[in-house]
Amino acid sequence: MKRNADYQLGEKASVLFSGGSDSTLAAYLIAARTQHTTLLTFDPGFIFFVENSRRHAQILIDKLGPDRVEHKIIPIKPIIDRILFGDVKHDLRKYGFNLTALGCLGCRMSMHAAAVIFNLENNIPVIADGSITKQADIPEQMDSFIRRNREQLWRRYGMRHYSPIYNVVNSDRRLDDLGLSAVGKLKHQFILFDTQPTCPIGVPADVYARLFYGHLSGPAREVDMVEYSEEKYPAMHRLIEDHFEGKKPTLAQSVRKLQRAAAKLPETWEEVTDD
Amino acid sequence: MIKLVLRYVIALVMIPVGIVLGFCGAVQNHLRRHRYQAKHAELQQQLADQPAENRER
Repeated sequence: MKRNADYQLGEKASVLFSGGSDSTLAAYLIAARTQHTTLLTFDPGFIFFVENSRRHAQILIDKLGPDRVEHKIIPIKPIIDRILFGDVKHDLRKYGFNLTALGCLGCRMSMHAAAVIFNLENNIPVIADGSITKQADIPEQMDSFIRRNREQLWRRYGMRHYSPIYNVVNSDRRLDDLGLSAVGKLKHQFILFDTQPTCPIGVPADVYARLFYGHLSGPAREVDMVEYSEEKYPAMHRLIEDHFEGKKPTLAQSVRKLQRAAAKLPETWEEVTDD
Repeated sequence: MIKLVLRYVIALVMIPVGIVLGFCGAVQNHLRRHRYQAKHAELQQQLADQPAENRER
């Protein structure tokens, strides 16, 4: 059995996990290098078939062992209400139709706030996700957002963030090769997925982002992403501070503890794979 | 079978919704293009003014 020191990413990690091929491959790459990985599936309260995420989670648990991988489905409606729906009138006035795509960014940022709280409470210094460059038309998967978020959120709360498959294409084939796929040709599925939840507003949001918001909107997407996220960060910080209000250890103590653990870890995924 | 039908029913309804919203958004972004261009130039300048180590991850 491996000791803690033998794992490249240390003792604990968490992964934002939908159960799709991207987050499953990302989770496998993280879990293979960590003693214990928690797969975090967040339920914002308006998506369907959340339980679908259990299929690939179970395959990872079977592959690496229940002592190495754990899956949690966590309801986050109160967080969604404060961040995504915090000031809908203002968002609609300011961003108009672009909110069709930016809403997904708000949802993702709500999940990030929930992940920060989970990691701080459980002393987990590593967070990862399955963002990919092929979906960079979607605001929350833009390289510039991932970099910005790394500074504004993950690093602020003492965590190392990795997007281990950002440059990978065809994660479904990689999963097949690794024997981790519950269903073949996952990338050919659309709208209703066998291994991940379905978001009712995901289809128009996806059409909007891919066909119109990327190439046809000039600099609008980049500007909106910066302004929208800058407006949401204060709400996220307030929510996290409120959560830790009056608790022991304090937020500052928990952050310092993670910072000490994260300082020993590689800064980028390229450094992880170079070793 | 039900899933297959449902998939195409959702697609038939929601894809046109996305397209209509997309056209409206494209018009909106065209009307706001001067503000977006000015703000984008400002953001690029802020990035260029940052120390080099802050620009990379």
